[in-house]
Amino acid sequence: MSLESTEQVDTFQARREIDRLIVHPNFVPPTPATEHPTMPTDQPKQTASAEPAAAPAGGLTAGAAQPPAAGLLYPRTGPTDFLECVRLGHPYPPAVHAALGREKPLLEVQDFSLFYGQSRALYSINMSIPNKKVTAMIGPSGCGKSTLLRSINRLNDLIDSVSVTGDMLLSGRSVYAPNVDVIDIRKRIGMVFQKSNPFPMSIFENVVYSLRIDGERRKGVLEQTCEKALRAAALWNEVKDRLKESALGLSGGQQQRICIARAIAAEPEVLLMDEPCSALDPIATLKVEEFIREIAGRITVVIVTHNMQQAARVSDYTAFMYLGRLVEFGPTADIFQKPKLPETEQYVTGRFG
Amino acid sequence: MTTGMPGNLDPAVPQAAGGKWNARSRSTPLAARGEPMVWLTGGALAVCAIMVVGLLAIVLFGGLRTFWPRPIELVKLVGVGGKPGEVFLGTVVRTDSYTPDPTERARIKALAQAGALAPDAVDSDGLPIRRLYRVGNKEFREQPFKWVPVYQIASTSLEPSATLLERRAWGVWHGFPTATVQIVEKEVPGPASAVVKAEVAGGDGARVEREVVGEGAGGRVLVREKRTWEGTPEVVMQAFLAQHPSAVGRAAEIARLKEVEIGQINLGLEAERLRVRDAEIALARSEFGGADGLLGEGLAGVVVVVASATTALVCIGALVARLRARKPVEQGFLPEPDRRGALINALLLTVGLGLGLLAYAENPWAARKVTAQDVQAVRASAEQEIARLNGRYREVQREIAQVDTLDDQWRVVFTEPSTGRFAPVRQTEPDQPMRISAVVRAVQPNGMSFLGKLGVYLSRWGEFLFDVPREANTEGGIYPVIFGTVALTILLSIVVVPLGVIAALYLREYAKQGALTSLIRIAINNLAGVPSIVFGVFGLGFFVYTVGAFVDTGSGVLPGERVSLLGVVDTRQVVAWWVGVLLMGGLVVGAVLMGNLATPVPGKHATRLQENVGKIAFGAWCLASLGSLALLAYTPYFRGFFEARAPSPTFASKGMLWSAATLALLTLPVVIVATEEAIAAVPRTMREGSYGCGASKWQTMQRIVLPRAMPGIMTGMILAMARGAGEVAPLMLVGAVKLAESLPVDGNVPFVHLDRPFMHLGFHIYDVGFQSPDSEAARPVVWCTTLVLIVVVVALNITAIRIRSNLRRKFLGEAF
Repeated sequence: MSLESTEQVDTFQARREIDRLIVHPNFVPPTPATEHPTMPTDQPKQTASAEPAAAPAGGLTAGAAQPPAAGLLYPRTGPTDFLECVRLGHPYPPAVHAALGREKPLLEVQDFSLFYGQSRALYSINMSIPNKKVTAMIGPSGCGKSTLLRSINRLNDLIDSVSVTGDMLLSGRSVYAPNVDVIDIRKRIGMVFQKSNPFPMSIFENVVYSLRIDGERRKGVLEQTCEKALRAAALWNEVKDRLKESALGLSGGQQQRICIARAIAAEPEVLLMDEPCSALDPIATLKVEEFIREIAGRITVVIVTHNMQQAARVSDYTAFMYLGRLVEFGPTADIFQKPKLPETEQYVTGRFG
Repeated sequence: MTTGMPGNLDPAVPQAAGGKWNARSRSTPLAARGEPMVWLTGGALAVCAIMVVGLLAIVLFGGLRTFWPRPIELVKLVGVGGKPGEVFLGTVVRTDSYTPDPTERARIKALAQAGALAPDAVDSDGLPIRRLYRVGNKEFREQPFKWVPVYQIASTSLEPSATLLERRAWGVWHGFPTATVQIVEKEVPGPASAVVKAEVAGGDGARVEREVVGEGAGGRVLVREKRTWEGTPEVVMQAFLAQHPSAVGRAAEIARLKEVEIGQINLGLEAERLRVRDAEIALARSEFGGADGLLGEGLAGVVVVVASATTALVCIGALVARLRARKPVEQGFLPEPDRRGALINALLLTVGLGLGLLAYAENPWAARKVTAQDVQAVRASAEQEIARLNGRYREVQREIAQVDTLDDQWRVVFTEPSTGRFAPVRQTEPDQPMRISAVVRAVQPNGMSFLGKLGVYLSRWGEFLFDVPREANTEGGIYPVIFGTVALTILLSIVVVPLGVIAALYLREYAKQGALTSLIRIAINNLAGVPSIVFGVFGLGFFVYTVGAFVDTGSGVLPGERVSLLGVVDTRQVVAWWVGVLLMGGLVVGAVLMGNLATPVPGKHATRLQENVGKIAFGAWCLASLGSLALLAYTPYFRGFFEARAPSPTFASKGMLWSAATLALLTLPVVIVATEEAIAAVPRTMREGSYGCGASKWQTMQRIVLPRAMPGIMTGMILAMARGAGEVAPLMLVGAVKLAESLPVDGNVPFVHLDRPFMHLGFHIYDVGFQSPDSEAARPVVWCTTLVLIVVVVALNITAIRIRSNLRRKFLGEAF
């Protein structure tokens, strides 16, 4: 057992070194030709599936030492053929739009990889979540968007087999440093889950849960917070007369909005939403989307969604992920209308995924 | 069963060779329809249901019919050899047929031929039928039950005045009311020869007999006057019933005086004895000790001051550090963990606590000089108090005698048919009729209406449920038994539920799932399969003889011996103990440190070194807890809480506490398993929601997991209660007794007496049914006790189930 884990750590270290060499944005390989031999390309497939007009001029499948493509925040170094990266188990240099450079980042994901036991779920993700903006993460099932989202407030710590490399910086401070208080991180981050999970207590207690666990006992403060959060979640008028009733008696949409109210009651810096509307009917979905539009500009929202229309409707920025790699990240309008990479194009137009 | 389709409908498909082109059959075989399985499973369920319902029905039938008043038959037997046959009163208990011996068979045959055999005297197989009569009247009969073959019965009749007396002693009496009697001793003017021996009093029609029994003052003579009022059974019965309530009141008053008043006096006497004994022990210790005097007291004082100051400082320091740590440093990010600081804190705390312990154990007040004069003073005041109590005792005795004399005046005569014998006041005086107060209930069932019988029935149930037993538990009530059972079950759940829940919480939430937890789970499950008598033996050996003895008298230092490092009988023992304390302290500090080192950085796997250190830390914790237990058990300073009562045991004997502990051990697996399952069933999303809000693990467990798992925990508690309430074997060893003098809860300080033995329904059934000298007489009690046991268990369960369904509604929400 102990022998295995030692080896495991060593493997991780080695992998991390390789990842650094391949994709670190600020890393310029000294001799790219020898360091990373040019990957064999799959030209026919690429041209067959991608719109020639949408493909940036620079060549998608060029090897190392590729010149920075127009409109990208930083050059894409290392191999850029997605399928080849997947075949070799390598990370992928994402296309990050230059527009992101103008935003103040709140959360910086640095070289972040995640492993379930020996199998790798995230491949050296590098991205900066802009402050007080709505960022959507899209991608097919199993691409790691939920895993990445759950890594931000370290919920994956609860799974024994998970180990991570790399780091995230929340407001410039590490999330994964050894001396970090996980609970404190989580207190600054609110989270809404795919399936609504109201606690087995009254509506009021559900909403003020975060304050209760901080030991808040002043009735006035609790009531004020509860009303504010419920109003923000557009639930106040529906439940104001039954705050003492069990939250489990509410309808599905109301339960999800209770969870939203709970997540924002403590005024977090970031609100993480993991497919919040996947179990809701269209009307409830509309209400949640209205809520997101409402708070956009006040707090940072990261939303994972399968519904591309939803991403297009609610988000300022969109990140496209595929097979554990970040592929493209940019303003929502650009991602959906003029993506820089053909993979993104194919996905958002519904040709695969 | 494979029959192909009747024909090939599609001409394009050629008929395959053998006609098996369609392997699927159109008809479904019986086995596939599943009907046999429906019958099989339904039949199995029916068998189970019939067995359970049958058992309950038998208990219900047996229990509910027992107290219904049955007719009293006046039985006349056939005379043998010219002598008239026996005549007696009795109630039929049972009827069955039996195999007669040859002479009896011949006699029955002769009777049948003569046509003198009653039609109900033999059954369809020609075997004679006999009846079991309950005849009572134990003073004059060897057996209160009598088997009578029906062919020997000349006649039976139901006399309306035949009376069944339930008496406080000597069981039931069957007879006819004949007379009421008043016996008075009084002084009349002398001389003795002038006393009229017998007359009929004018006013009330009483027959008066007088007997001179002694001489009074001033030439008067002491006369016992016996006034007898005879009459028809109805008249006598009415007179008896009119006097009965006041007689019962007198009996109750005597019982109250004896139990409450004299009980209080005895308690007071015991308390005085213990006070004197305590003082004597303190004197002995003071004389033994070498710690008094300037050096000893001075040193001890210094130690106390230093230790207390150190402990206080360390505690304040730790508190300040804790408060500072709570304040968010740099918006909530803690600085580098201060391992060295933590070690220093732990060391300081250990040293402080050790010094505090030293100060407490060696405190100079223990060496306070108790002089012989002090003891003398205590003794004197105790003697005064004892004298007062003795005076009160005599007073109460006088009161009792007074009531008793009055009670003794009033008698009643219930006569047997044909013999003319009546129920005597006591067996040695068969010529004196019994006291009216000796009758608990007089029933004349033969002429009774349905409502009257119902009244008797309910009054018997009332007595059974709310009265104490008499006649070696075969009569009277079972109130203490019900009380003991309910108290034990409640105490058992108070002990087992927290213990089991905490164990399950650790096992499921904190422990790393692996070989060790699997081993522990297997061990727990095996615990459920251990025979309960083994738990009883363990409880007796461990709880009663070991822990109980420790609680009573500590670690075996002689009473009065002073233990101290300074002036001690055996210094080596004390020094060795303190060395042990030091070792344990070191071990704890080391374990804390190693545990700290072994904790991996979050998000990273533990290194091999860390894993090994973790294992060593775990071992150190195990060793430290074992060592602490040993230190606790062998502390020479502890002399028990009941030193003065020694050598008579307090907690070192059968009692409620140890019974509850033993049963808790027995039912622990049930609670642990149920709780674990309930905790595991709490949805992951709910926990994640709580963690996502920034709750710690404990907060999540306390606020989300435990409330949500509460219905499951209640299920475990219900199962444990049901098992515990019905358990008998271990209780025979550790607590249940045939007859408990007092309830485990009463009005005397400290009100709850967990050291007392108690009565228990399950044990009562065994004891009355199988250990009783007269099993036939005990039969009704066994039936009804069984019924009550089932009712009690069901009532406890229903209560718990109601609470559980409430919790379910609260925590699990409505169904979607």
